[in-house]
Amino acid sequence: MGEFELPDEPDNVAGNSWDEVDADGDGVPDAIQLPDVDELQYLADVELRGADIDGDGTMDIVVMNVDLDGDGVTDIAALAADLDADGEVDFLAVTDRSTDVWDDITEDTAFHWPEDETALLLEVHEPDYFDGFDDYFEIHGTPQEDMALWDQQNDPNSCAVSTTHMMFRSLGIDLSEEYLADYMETDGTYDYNSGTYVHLLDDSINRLASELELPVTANEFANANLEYIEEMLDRGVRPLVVVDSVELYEEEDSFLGDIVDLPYSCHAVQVIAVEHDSDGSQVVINDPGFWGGSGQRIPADRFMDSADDYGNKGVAVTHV
Amino acid sequence: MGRLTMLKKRKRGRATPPTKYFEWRRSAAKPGLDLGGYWSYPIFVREKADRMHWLHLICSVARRPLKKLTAIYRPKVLLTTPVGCAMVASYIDLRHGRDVYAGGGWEKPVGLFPHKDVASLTVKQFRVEEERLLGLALEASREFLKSGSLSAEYRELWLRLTHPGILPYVKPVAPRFFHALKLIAKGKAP
Repeated sequence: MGEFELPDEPDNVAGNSWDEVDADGDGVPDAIQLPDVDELQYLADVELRGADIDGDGTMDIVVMNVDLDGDGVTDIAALAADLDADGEVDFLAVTDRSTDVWDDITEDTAFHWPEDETALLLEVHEPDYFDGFDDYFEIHGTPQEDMALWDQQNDPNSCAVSTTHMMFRSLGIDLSEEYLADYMETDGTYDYNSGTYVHLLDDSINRLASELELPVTANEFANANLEYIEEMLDRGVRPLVVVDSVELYEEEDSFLGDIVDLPYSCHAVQVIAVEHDSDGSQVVINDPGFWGGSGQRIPADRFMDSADDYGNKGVAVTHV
Repeated sequence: MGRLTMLKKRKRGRATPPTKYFEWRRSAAKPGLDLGGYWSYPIFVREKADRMHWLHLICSVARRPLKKLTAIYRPKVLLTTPVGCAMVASYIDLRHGRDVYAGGGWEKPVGLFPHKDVASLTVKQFRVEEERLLGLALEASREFLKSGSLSAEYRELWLRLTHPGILPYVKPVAPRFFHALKLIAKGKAP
């Protein structure tokens, strides 16, 4: 999706100006409000919100709310999202609550928000879906769902804890990264200064699952090839894989001063999908290490090379 | 040129003698061993009169993503291996066992990586230089055992690649090596 353009600022309304908020400091506004155009004492008549999920400087999700009658209630809402960062809108939802404008609406006949509002309101466009799509585009895992569960690591060495948190969320369990870090620090699996001892992680998760009666089990794996990872994803397993992050993002030609890690430090990421299409094979990961690490697509060969440095090792978390 | 001469030349010109240093450094997750973090390059310590070991100082690190730097903390582990790193000879956990430095100082970083001498190198160039240093290390160990001195090439490359923040931690555990680095006047024990 390209950058959206702001309409001209209304210069005939005294005191009004666009209120832009750049929440993540990337120079792109994330929320824009036009306060009280109609001077009916409500805060915002037109509100635009956007999010640059992948940090490329352009909006990936844009939400617009319009209050036509100044009653403080949204009358028209629209949402557009570029989920796969290909510059095309993948998802468009529009809701029209213009009935709220009519004065003759009574309590009895007033529009009631349906319980299943999503199903009613969304117009889902699937322009990429066609006969033979599955043969053309092979996918293992659930990237769209899991991308939304991405979480940035809280502490410098907590990548495996944060990845465990994402894997748990993906299985419907949200204990918070802080809780997991405390638990794993107490049982000696995680150290704030040193990071996580991945060889202890499966035992720690199983112990936690037993104590809290969580429906998950964890197993360490090693020497995993791409087919093994695909098989795990097909079975609904959430895999954490240990990688060399410099190799992962092909930073060999970067200056040492331009990379974040030591040039040989290991890192943990969640593999959320493997995709095969005409462009080749990609491993889709949620990388907790940086803002925008959601749904990073890495060429499969490069991903496997970066994992090979650490014995293609990881931890598989499964719902039981 | 005779065949024997050619073989000798080829052998002498072999770029990288076998060493498991890089494998060990990557093995942050060896069961029971805390090997993750910043590794010093081989420090030579005499194990017996006729045998040398390599000593490795392993330090905790913390990423500073916004500054694109990595903070290095004081050593947490002293690992010794036979020359070439084929196996572990000793492993001392300074945090949970006896701290040979006895100075605390765990909270404040001793430096930020990359340091000035390597900041202008690319990752690829840095790796080439590291491999060159390890390629020199076997011969340098032998020379150090015999004479107690280091070749200028090994000394200069070791000093260039090693983060200066850990130098004060070398002297108490490897005084002969520290002396050979000719840093006695500058070095300051922690």
